[in-house]
Amino acid sequence: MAIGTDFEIQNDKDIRYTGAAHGAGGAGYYTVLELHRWLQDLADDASAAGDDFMDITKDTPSDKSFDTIINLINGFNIDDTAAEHLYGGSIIQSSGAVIYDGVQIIANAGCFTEIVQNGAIITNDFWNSTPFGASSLGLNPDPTAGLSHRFIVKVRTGGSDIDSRKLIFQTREWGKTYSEFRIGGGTARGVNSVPLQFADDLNNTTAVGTVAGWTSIANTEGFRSIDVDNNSTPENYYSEWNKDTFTINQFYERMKWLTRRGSASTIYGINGELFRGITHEITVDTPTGTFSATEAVSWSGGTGRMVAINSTTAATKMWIQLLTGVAPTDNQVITGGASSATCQVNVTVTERTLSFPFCGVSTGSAIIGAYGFGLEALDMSANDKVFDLTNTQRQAPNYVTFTVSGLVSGEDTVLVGPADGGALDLNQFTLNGALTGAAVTSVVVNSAIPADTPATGTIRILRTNGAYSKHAYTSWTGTTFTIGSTDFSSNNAANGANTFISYIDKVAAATSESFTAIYVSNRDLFIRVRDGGVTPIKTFESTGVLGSGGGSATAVRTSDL
Amino acid sequence: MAITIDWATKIISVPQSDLVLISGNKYYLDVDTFRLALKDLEDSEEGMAFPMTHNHNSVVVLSGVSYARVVEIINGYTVSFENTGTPYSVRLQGANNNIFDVTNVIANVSVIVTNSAGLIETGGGSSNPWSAIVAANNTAGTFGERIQKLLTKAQFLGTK
Repeated sequence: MAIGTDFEIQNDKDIRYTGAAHGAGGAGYYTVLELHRWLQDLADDASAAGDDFMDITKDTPSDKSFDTIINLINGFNIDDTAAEHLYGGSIIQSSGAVIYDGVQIIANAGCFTEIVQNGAIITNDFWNSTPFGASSLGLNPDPTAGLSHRFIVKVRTGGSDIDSRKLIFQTREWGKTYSEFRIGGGTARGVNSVPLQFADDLNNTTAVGTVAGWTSIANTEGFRSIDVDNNSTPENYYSEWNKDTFTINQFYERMKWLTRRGSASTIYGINGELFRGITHEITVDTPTGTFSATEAVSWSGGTGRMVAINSTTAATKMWIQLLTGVAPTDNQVITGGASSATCQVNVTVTERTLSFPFCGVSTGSAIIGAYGFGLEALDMSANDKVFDLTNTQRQAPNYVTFTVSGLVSGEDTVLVGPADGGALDLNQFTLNGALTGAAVTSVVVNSAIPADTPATGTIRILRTNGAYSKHAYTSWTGTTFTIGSTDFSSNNAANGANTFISYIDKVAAATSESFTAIYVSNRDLFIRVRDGGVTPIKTFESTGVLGSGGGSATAVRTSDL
Repeated sequence: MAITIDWATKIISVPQSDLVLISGNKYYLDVDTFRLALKDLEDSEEGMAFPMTHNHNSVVVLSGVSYARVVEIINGYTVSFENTGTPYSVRLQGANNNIFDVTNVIANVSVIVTNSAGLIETGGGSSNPWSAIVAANNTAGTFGERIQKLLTKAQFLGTK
């Protein structure tokens, strides 16, 4: 199809597309050089013909700087619709007040590409149209050259660059790898190459509708201190996700779902489709007011979304996702959009590397987290790696879970304790000092509390009356359990009295009960399940092992009526 | 009051009020009710730390005949009936049991066993004592011991 059949030159110097729509048979696409050649061909005609008001008597319509840079001069111009049918270079018109720059996407065929311009997705994504008769989307592809799309994008209008001609290209298709390429310095004249990864994501195979239902995966946004590596010194992150009962790879899929193309989810106050993670870490000082935990922020020359701040009233660090403009510089004032609180940049602004998707990478059984991305400590396994806000890699210990299943909620009472020779190890510890006070909060034992002891739980202490009383502990260290204030002034616990950890010690609240601990070495456990209620069962007793992969036991409920 | 267990001494205490009055100073203990009370104590917060108190085999119907349940107190637990100061008797009924064997001697309380055996096992592994191994029957005071102490023909002649 000749370009002249798809374009017309109107009397007022408007060059307009008159051909078929995208996807329809006959829709035409031409390089900017072809447009220039066609204009020049008409410009030397003796007289205008057809719908093209162009001949030797008219002003010169175009000028070629290079094959890929065409200037429309003397008032000649194209509109946005005409631009959708051109590619392979830049069109400059209105004396430079309007610029369309060329783009070529280097990706596998069918790469659905979104463009973020000035903090928003360009809604008219004509470049993702499927040409008539083609098997995959993408205008003007060149598979031989590895190009999935070629088109031009308006980057300057009314004499002003649109967001400094910055563009972010991204692909976030369900089941495919997520990818992004940013033209952070603004597009250049000619053709801008944009490489994107677009391939099957083997760790993203669950149906999108299924993942949509995983709503119990939730986040606490903002500055979070989490002791991921369990070294008693929490590290800081900008999120604390709870993956609930889902696997780490299912969690990864949920993160992709939240930020997929077409997402209606909101993360940190912005649409998931636009959420990218932390782009800049900013050292700040001279704070005033009280910042929100997360909020929109702005400064002269840019806007962003603050996703974490180390103190809402006395901040020294702030982490943002840059939305528009350029990152702030030294001494610039940053203002909270909701709080109106302010602070100043204190010299250092560090650009951080992004991951796609924003959570990081899944290996299928573990996650390699993105910068600053945090999960609840107990939601991670020893194979997971995350990077805190200092960009230091942190690795969780091997949290393992022992589960007793086959229970009847509200009826069965479960006791899981240490085993010794196949029986309940009543003297796992002995008391170091009698407990006789009226408000005892510390229980000291004669041997070190093992490292695989849950952070919180219950212990049993032998009392004078021969019973083992149950006490919830809120922490432990060394040889000391910290319990809630308890009156031992009567029915004491003698010095040397038996004490043991009751890992599970409760009436079942579900069909299974479990506890989680850090794996150190195999631990033998004794399991006892009883129901002496109206439908009694014979006592179930068994032993189990808390191993490197956790452990389990299934109660056999034999009626004892 | 109710049945209680002293976990330190493993003594199961049965108050008179938990017995069923027959007449006068005669009471009976429903053994099935008794063992259900024990089960209820076993799954309490205190009881969970301790071994179970008894074994129980439920009623079994064989050829249309219902054979009674069996309750066996185990793991060193013993039973004490309340000493009210007034003599009374307790009949154990509702199940074959060994409660009498593990009952602590309490003044003023007499325990009446109502176990009823049908087909029983013997030490010889058969219901016929004459086919049992002689050497395995030497308990003092038993017929087996007596037999083994009889003089053989050779021993008799040797004494002459």
